[in-house]
Amino acid sequence: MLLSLYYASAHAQSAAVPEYGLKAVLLHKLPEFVYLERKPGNLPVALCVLGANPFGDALDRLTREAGDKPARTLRQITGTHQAGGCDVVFIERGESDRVEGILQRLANRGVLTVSDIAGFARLGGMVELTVGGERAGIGIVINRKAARAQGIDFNAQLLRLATLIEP
Amino acid sequence: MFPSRFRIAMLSACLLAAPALASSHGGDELLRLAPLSLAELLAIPVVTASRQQENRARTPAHIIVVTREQIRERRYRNLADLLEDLPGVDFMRGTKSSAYNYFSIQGHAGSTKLLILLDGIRIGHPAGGNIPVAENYALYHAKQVEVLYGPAAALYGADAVAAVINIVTERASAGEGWVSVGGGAFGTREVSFTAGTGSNGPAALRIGGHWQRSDRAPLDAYYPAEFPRVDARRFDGTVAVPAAARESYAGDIGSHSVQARLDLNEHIDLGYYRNEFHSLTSTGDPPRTALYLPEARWQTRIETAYGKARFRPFEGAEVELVVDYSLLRVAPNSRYVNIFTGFEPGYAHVRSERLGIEQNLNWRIDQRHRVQAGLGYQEIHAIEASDLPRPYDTGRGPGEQGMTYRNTNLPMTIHDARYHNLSLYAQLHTQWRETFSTMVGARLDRHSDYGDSFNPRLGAVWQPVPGHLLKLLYGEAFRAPSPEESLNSFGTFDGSVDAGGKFIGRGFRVPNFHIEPENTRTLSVTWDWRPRADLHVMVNGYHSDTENLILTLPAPAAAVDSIPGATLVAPEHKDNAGKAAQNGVDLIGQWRFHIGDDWSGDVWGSYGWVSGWIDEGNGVRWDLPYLAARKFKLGTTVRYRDRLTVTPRVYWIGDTTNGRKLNAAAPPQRRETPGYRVTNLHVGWHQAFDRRATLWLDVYNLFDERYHVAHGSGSRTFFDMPQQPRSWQLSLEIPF
Repeated sequence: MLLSLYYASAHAQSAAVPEYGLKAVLLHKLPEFVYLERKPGNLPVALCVLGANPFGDALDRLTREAGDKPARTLRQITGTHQAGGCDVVFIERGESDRVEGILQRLANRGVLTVSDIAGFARLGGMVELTVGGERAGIGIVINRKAARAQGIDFNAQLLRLATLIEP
Repeated sequence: MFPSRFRIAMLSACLLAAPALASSHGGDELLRLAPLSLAELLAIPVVTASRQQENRARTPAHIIVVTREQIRERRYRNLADLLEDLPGVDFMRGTKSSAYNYFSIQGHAGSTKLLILLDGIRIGHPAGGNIPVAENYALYHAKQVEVLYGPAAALYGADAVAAVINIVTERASAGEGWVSVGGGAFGTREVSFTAGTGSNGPAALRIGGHWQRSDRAPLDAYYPAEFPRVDARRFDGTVAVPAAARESYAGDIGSHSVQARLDLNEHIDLGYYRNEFHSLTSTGDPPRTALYLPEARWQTRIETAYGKARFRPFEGAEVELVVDYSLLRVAPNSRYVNIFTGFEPGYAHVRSERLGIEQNLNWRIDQRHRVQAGLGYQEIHAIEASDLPRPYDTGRGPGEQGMTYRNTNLPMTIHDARYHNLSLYAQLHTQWRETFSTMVGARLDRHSDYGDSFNPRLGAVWQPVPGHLLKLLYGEAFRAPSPEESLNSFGTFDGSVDAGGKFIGRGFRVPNFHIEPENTRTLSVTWDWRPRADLHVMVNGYHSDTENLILTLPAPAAAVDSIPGATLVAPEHKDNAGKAAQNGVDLIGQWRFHIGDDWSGDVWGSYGWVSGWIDEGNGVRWDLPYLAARKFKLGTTVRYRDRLTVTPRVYWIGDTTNGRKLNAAAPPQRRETPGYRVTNLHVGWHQAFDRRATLWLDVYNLFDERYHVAHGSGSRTFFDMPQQPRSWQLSLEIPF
């Protein structure tokens, strides 16, 4: 019966959105729900994508046209040596073999780390975007301990919607 | 409470319709997603390389989804709060003796026509009777609540007549928890919590619970005209309690619940849920009819345990096996002390249990077709008794109680019943075109007592232009006769005997073991319009007609002698007769706004119109009771960053028909309880105390209005039930 209602009310009625389109929107929106200690006031929030850009032009268009305040800037970087000035670093899946090293090098920089690499939060990343499992949409997994170690915290709304883990 | 998923579906539909989307993510359309809340974004299904696209097979039903954020910000602390705010619902608090609250959903009155699910498992009355839908159904565990309007018997079987409410809980693997402690006016105290063990290990456990007490306002102090100190007189005119010795009004309520969910892995869930509620049995009775004694209360406990196992037998198919057991008990010391019991304790006993097993298949045959089908079996046992001279001995069977009717030496018969039901259903969704889909389904229930019930369900969804959805739904549903209707027996013996030496019984209702289900047909049309990303409008029109109504009617002549050694004067029983019909329209809207960088909010509201009649089997039509022809509900949540939320809610409820006929000889008008306007205010201070806690202030009936809600069909109850004055509660919520 649960399947019936679920299909009646949720999965069946909602048409799908491309995965990285929705992830772009979420990544763009994420700073609204994060307390970045080093980003007071209305200075632009620097979003960085480490590795190949999986978002196409979606994140770029959102950054330029969504009109959020504080504004977002977007940079694509190829390594942690280019991460200076980044407030949020999205680590692309292609970097999965190197992710632990990347996290080590980003440590103590007060940078929010985000990725959709499976197990990212357990590896010490702060925010993992997941797909699959029980939900049809995107899930958020948060390693709050890793974030707090960098002076970063999340607001209550995000915490309620996310799955929290403590590896 | 607006259907975020509808809105998401609309936006998603726009996205899918954009040819450029597949390659470039349709940037313009993505910009339209940006204003959605985080919860709404996370609810959007996605297309991945590993998953087939969920095409646009939207359900034709009228659905409202209430998200966790809405539950929290609007302070829907329990299902009663949520129902009261839903479009098309007439909600009458504190009127019923055993159910406490009473409500109509699109003209369908009573909790017996509402199916309540927790993660898809029935958590209402195991045998379909009336239950309190009040503070006992707390929503601390809810991730979201889905409200499916209209008949859904083709999927769910009996009692899915007016609506199905599914409370979806958080998965056990979600580790975060919180505790809330609150207190306020009129002795209100409340504690609730939820916590999970997290996802470490092979199993994850989530538990939660609440405990709540409230003395409620002393209504005799606020409505002195309705609560005079009068003699409590028995039917024969003798005084049981003189006016000078009468008690003050006391209408305290209390509730608690426990929920536990164990996820063993992705394939097996085990769960347990229990709630309990107690209230005054004289709720809704004036002082000449009842004594307001603290011990004269009704205490209902409902427990449900379940297990679910899922597996994929072949590509595109998922099978779920569900086993559930549910038990409802009314505490043996529950009692009435009123004119019907001679102002002596009249105890009640209710026990219903249900064991069910179901296997459900969800099979996506191809891109266009999806089948849902299932087979189920349920066994039910029910005991129902009232007007007992002493508490029921739960250690003995119903035939071993050894009680006699009050003021007689006649042995009392307590009835119980065992029955079973076999069900089979199937539903086919077909996506004919990108903009058009249909649904055809049916369910057959084979009941050991009343035989077969066949309920079809047909629907279509059409998107004529982007931004507009039209939904058409036809469905049939049935309400099974409850044990209270078929088994219960009560009445009064005053000790007098007739010429033949038989005790004379008055006001008796006798059992009827041959009641058939009520049958309802509903046609519903929904227009769903999203002109902008931040604005959503829905219009839902409906027509329902019900046949085989279960009504209180004169019993057959043989019932006069149905109790050996007694003669019953004009006994009654429940039986099928008459019909009813209603038409209505609900207009629903929601608007999301931003003011500057720091302020944002939602405005939501609904206007409902409904009209209906009931024919009690004699061909005479009367207005349907417990309906406000017009009702307007409006609310807004204003947020300042993540620090502050202010949520006022206002209800303008029009004159509401109550149980009394204006002139018995001049149909169709009923007496109407005057309309009212009441405002509630909820303020949340978030990130308090080191950014962790939230402090809530809830003020109910902000302007301290004196108002009444509709009640009563007999002369010994209030027709207009006085409502609570202004009250408040302060709560501290701490995450951990």
